[in-house]
Amino acid sequence: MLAFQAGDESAFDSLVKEYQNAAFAMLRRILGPHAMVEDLAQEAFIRVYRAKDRYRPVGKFTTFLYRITYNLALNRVRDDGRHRLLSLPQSPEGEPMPLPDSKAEKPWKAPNRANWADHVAQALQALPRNQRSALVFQHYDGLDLVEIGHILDVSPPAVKSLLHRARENMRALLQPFKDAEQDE
Amino acid sequence: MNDWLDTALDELPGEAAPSDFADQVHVALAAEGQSILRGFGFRRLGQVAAAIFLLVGGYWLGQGQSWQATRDVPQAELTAMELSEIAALYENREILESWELLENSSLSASSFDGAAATWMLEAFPLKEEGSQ
Repeated sequence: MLAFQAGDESAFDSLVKEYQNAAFAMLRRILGPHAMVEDLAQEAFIRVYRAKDRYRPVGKFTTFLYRITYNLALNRVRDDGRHRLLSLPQSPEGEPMPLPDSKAEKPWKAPNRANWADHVAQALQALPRNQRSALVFQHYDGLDLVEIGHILDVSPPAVKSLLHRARENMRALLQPFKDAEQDE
Repeated sequence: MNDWLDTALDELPGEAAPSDFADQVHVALAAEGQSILRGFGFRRLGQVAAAIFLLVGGYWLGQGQSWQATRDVPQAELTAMELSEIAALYENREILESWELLENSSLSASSFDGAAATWMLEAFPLKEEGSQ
């Protein structure tokens, strides 16, 4: 980013190629499997381009990029009036999908990696937005409390609390699947 | 702290960007730049049109007039006013000198300082008290 700021236009290409997958993955994990993340990621990098002169290297570039991307995602959801997108999983048609139910008939009779990916994806979508975002930033992006707080615009102790509750909720949602796997 | 939850979370894969994503960003940036230029062009054209309209309109309205406007100033009256003001200034100066305020260096400073204008109290002490 500093090279780009110094006038090296090709450095922006490198930035996009280096961080595009991280931006996509973050948006997908936070917004869910059916959200349109491509245009959001594109808009995020355009904002980075425009912010060339204002950028100050006070933290990691990923924190800067994620803050822009996350705020864009929130604005999009608010503009669309589709608040359920960030609180409940949805079908491709936009209808809320049922949460994972371990007491129902057991489709996970033969657990495998793909099943666990589905369980985790659905459990993540069942979390409140702030808890889900904090957990994604910590677990998948390796950000610390201060960096997550900067993105979510909350204090580090609040992030710690969000993470604690997120992990507790995830355990509660996934424990039945884990127990079932052990019973096999 | 790596427990079963972390292991489970690791099972959720990330999503890779499309292979042409960087190109799409460049196309979007180029399109945005063109639209900005177009917007600038329309604005500039409007400003130029407004400037031409003002110039032509002003010229048309001012046809037959001299370039510089003149004001009819009553010279004699003005001179009388100036003379009376100058006379008043001299009178005031004479009054001040008669109070020896201008020669007194300690008080001359106070005449420029509103907060320390004690010379006023010295100038009218008894008159003020007597009137109340």
